[in-house]
Amino acid sequence: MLSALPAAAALLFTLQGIATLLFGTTLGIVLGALPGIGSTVAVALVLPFTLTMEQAPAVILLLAVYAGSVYGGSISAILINTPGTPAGAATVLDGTPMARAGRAGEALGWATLASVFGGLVSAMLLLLAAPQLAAFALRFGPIETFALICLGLTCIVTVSKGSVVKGLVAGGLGLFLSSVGGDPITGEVRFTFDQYQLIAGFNLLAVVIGIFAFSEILIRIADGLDSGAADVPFSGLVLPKLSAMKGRFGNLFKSTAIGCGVGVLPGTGSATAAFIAYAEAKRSSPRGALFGKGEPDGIVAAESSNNAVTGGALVPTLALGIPGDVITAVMLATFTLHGITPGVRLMTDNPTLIAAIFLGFFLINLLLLPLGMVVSKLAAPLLRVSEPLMLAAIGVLCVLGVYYVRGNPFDLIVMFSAGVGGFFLRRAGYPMAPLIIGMVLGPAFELSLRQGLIITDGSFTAFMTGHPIALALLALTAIGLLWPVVGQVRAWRAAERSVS
Amino acid sequence: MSRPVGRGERIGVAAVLLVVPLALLLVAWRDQGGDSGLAAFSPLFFPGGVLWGWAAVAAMALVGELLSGRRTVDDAAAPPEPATEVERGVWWRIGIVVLAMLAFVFLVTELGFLLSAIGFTVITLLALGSRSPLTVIAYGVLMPAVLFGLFHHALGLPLPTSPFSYLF
Repeated sequence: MLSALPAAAALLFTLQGIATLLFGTTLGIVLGALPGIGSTVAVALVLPFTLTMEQAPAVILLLAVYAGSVYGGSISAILINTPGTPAGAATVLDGTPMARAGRAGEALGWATLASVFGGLVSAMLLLLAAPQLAAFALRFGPIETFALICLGLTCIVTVSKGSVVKGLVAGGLGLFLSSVGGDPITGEVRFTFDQYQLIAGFNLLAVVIGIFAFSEILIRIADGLDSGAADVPFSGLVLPKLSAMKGRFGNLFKSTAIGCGVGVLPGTGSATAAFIAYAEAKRSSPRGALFGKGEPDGIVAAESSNNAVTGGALVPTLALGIPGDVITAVMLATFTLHGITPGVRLMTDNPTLIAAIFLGFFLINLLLLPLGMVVSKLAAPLLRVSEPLMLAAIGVLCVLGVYYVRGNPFDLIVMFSAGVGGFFLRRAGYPMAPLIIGMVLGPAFELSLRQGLIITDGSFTAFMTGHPIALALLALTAIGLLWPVVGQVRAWRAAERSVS
Repeated sequence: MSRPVGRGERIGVAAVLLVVPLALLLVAWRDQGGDSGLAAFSPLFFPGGVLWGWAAVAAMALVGELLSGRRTVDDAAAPPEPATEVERGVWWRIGIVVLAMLAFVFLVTELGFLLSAIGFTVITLLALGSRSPLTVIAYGVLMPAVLFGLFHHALGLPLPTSPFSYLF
């Protein structure tokens, strides 16, 4: 991987490469700061515009928007008490009290430093861990790949907050949608209902934009539009002095480690990491009693951990083709749309691209500091943009993004249907991340299963008898599926004990 | 602030999610001439298995919805609460925005991107409560025009134009 770094640097240190880094990070910060847009919608909206770009700049642009939007979420969290992303929710707890006390610039300074540190450490983790994991995964044949994707699909359980059953329903729907069209072995078409547009299957991009962006408009209307937020005096970001950092490094390192660890686990996400790190910081900090009243340690814990998740989540995504969270699932969809097959051979087959991603991710996190200082001041007035104006723009971007990629009006109908369907599913509590995970992993899942069955002459038991790695992965899959059930039973028993 | 979703709506969604895979299985069974398609080398092996799995978990979800939040005998005797003015207004807004998007999707190739986008933006702004004519007209025209100009003219990425002029 290191041998590909010079070629990757040559790709990045061009006018286009630098412009992509600067533009993507800036756009990510602005979109992340706008309340309710969030990282997923931001990445989904930008995704179609990358399809006319080369592979490396396209992926770098999306990474920049991803990392920038996670940081950008802290701006609205601190200035208007509304996290731009779920990951920024923990930042509100101490960011808003600091801002209301007239220290908004200082709060944003702490958030920026912690975000940059968390992001840089997670970039190092990505550089060190992903190649090792990918090298191990090179031993995988179709049966091991099938078992690995089974394990990857268990992240449907972890991303299904609220109801595992509903998550599985959405995952089943996603897997089915991925199988519409030509059979990967025989080429025979399935479930196209004589619609020739469906022979190549559903357009993943149209589905992503429909269920994340268009349905978001409808959800926001259903939830009631915001009437506007109170203004907080803000004249620019103020970086904390070195003396103020004394005694906070332990919290910074620990929270970053929590973010990296949580990020590597499939399906957990940055909001989870931020709240775990916040709770741990509150428990262990000598200033724990001040948490919730404007204590910088709270901001440091939340921001360093949620930005550390970004690199952690990319480890299984790049090494194994398993998404670490919903955004990395969309990133995998990007690879597919650019003709790159996600999976265990991703790093071996595309060394320059992957090295460019590593290097680009490092640079993006470095850029957060200067860009955060400039963009936060410029983005602050945007926080007062009324919601109807923002929703109308998202609607126009949905159509623009889906249409201009292939110029196919059928994709617009898919986007519209996915948006309306996604709206009702989301309202009824069905998480949408499993649907995308199912659609992204579905083709490789089916292909490896069918190839495995050809190798074993149709025997499922042979999947486990002669393949120890597959057996271990399937055992982990079973544990992953049973773990929430065990947790639920424990919770019921605890509730029964407390009642009795 | 998230509004609670009615039990009837949740049950309806769960029922649809059960009926769809069962209907698709029926179609597959009919197309295969009565063969289940579950033989390991059949093209319908994978989607058939997925549909059975989907139907199974959808049935569990439906049962869960039916069992959760069951009204007591006293509740059942009481008439259901009527939809408030706010709730009715919200559904009207959603309906208008959905119809505006549907029209946008179908008209984009007929009227061109710019005109259909202007129509969508103006209708959406009015439906969402923007009452300043200046804001509605200025934003409704300028935002789509800037996007169209950027992509179609500046970046050279062709978008559909109207029957009236190749410029828009």
